[in-house]
Amino acid sequence: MDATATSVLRIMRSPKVVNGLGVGFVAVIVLWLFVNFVKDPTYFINIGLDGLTRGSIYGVIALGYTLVYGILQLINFAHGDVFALSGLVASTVMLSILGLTAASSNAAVVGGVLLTLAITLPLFAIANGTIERIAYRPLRNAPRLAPLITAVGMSFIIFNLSLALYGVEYRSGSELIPQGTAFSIGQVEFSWKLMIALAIIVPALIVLSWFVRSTRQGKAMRAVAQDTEASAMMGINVNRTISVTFFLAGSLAAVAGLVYFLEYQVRFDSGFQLGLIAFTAAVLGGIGNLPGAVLGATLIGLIQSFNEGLTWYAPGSDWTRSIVFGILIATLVFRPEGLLGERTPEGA
Amino acid sequence: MTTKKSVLVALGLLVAALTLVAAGCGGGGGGGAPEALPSSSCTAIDYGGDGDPDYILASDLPLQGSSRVQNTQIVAAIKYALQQANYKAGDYNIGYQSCDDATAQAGSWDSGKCSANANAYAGNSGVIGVIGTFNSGCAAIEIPVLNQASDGAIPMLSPANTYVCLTAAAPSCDSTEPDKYYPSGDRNYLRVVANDAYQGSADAEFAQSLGIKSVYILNDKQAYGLGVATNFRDAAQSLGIKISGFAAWDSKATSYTSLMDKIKQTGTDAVFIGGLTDENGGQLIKDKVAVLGPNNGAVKLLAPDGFTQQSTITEAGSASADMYSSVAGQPLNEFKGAAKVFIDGLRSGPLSGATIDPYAIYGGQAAQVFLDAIAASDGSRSDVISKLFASDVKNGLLGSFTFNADGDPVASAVASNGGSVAATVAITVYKAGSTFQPVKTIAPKPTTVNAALGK
Repeated sequence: MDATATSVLRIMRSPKVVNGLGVGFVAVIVLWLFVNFVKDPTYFINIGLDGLTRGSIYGVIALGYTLVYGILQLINFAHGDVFALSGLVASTVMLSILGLTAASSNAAVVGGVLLTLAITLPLFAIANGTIERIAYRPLRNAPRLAPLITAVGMSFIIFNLSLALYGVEYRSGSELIPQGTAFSIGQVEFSWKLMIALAIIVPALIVLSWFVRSTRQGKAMRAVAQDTEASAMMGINVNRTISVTFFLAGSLAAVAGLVYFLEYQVRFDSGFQLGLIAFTAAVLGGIGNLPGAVLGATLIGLIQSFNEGLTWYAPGSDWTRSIVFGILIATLVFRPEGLLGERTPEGA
Repeated sequence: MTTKKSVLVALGLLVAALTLVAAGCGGGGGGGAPEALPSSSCTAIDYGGDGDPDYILASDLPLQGSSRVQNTQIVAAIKYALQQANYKAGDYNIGYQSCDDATAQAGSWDSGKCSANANAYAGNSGVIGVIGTFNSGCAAIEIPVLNQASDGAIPMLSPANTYVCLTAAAPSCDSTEPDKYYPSGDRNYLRVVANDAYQGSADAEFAQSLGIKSVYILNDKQAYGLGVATNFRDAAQSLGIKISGFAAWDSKATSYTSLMDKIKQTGTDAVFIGGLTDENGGQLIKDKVAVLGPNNGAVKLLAPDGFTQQSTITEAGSASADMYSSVAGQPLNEFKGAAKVFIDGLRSGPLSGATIDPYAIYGGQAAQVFLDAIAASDGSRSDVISKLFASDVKNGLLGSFTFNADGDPVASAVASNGGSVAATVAITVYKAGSTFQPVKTIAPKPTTVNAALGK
């Protein structure tokens, strides 16, 4: 390499240039959003609300990833597949067992949703806990690569279990819920999809937040996440705490699966794509950080919707994934711990 | 060398010798039954004639996923045609194997499976021909492999590929198409179905007849979906229909609400979705209706044959109501004569009274054309290809037609299957309700077809 090339590389690597590129990148995005907003503010907000709907579902899945990572530093690749299977089981309960159809009354559908949650929440809490007990706990002291590969293996096993049980057809409960606009403020339209997603997800997040912040077991989870050995010395049952974390993550997957089944369509491989997005959201927000996961998921939902829906120089759906991951890379270059994450030995 | 080692070496040599003998026995036409294609993709050889089959006729179709019902009916029609011929083509006994080019994981055709299947055919000298594929993307993978088979190019006859550039050069094609599919320089591929220039033209003419002034076109980014969307766009423009937009949909997306919001901003009269139901088409239709209203309202929904299957109605539910979707060929209730006899026999026999999918007839026709070509040949693959190109089908299941030098069907001067136009160039538009019901059969004008080809 000659001297010119070396000096160019040195300049490119200097903090000033890197920061300048980052600021320029953010400025372009802000300008693009601003122009689109000015052109049609109402339309811009409506597109944003669609992004919020998507982001809320991504957020619930992302919380499952981030909970487990926070306590075990394990990327539980099987989480997306547990989510997909829970959506399929929800379809069985609502469509096959309860026999709900488009003609069913609202009361029947609400009752069906509650009954489905009553079944799938404990079912997938136990299923996720069982996965931890069988596949991850025996590897607690193994090199980090071993549980990672095991997680990939569990993902394939659940993926194929879903395929064997439900085949390749999509299942959807969207006929059971109202479609279109629930109410409007001016010309800003709040869709039924958003309302229903929030009606199910917000209470679930409030319960989760209360559990983690205010209960003895939640405090134990936070303690184990900070320092496993010190927690054990203080008398915390680490294995039980980790199991509880997996129970919680499984319950969140069940909530997300039900909402996804009701609003979109789910099949055996839905967890791969959604899991990837949710994991990205968790990393973007700062993996291990609960509010960060929700923030990352909301941002990804908004990016997708703005990219696909805005009319002024929006690249379109062909570029959605490239843009999402481009923003992720750009964020991690400047803030490796994610937007709300804290610097840790792994993340620093 | 110890005694034990000597025994092992002797056993190894014996196994190797037996393997060589078995390999030598494979292949057809030279005496002995042909070697079966691998059971990982194909059924066992189906043969109901006397003695052993001389050759294998294989079909290569996606038998898993949303198009499973269509393709199992094509398999049933091919078997039925073979049974009617008593598994004979002239002096030759023909066995049949149905091969699957889909995987359960993909839920549709899979490029890896298509490649593996093609190599299995190319490596088996007993294969006299392949009926397939169903998806044009899979055909693009298989044709070159079969074209260069070591024992001679294997003839292929598709009942369903509609991508224009598989056979003919057109401005809308890549500069290397179609030659890149035929590396030997000789053609080995034909199809009994009209290509997407016809379907795109018919859909455009139908849109014009509905009074549609502008249309937003979406495609699924696959060879077939992008191809038919491009053909439709060019045909529609030639008819004076404004193109409000031309974009792709991401089959992995959760929702298309924002995309439909964007389309709504254009004030378009209609949306055309070029692609397959398998590519998250159900969600796309639901979001179209949620944002742009019902399909019988201000914004109509049009689709090609990738959506004309019952799984579209199942997956999209009530949102599919009143969408228009086309298929090459005439409605089954308009078939008469030999075609009607075949349909009635197929329906009451192998299909046990089920509603016949239009593509089943194309499968039956492909099998009959293949059997006639083999019967007229000297038993070599090259001669079967020659005889296929020389086919002159009269009163066939799809009417009377021949093939041009590209391998595309050309309607004979007088259609004689009882319909007003030969089925091979006719396109029927259906409307979705609880099932797809025929609305109109269109033989597109040559000027529109040329426009669809980009000429």
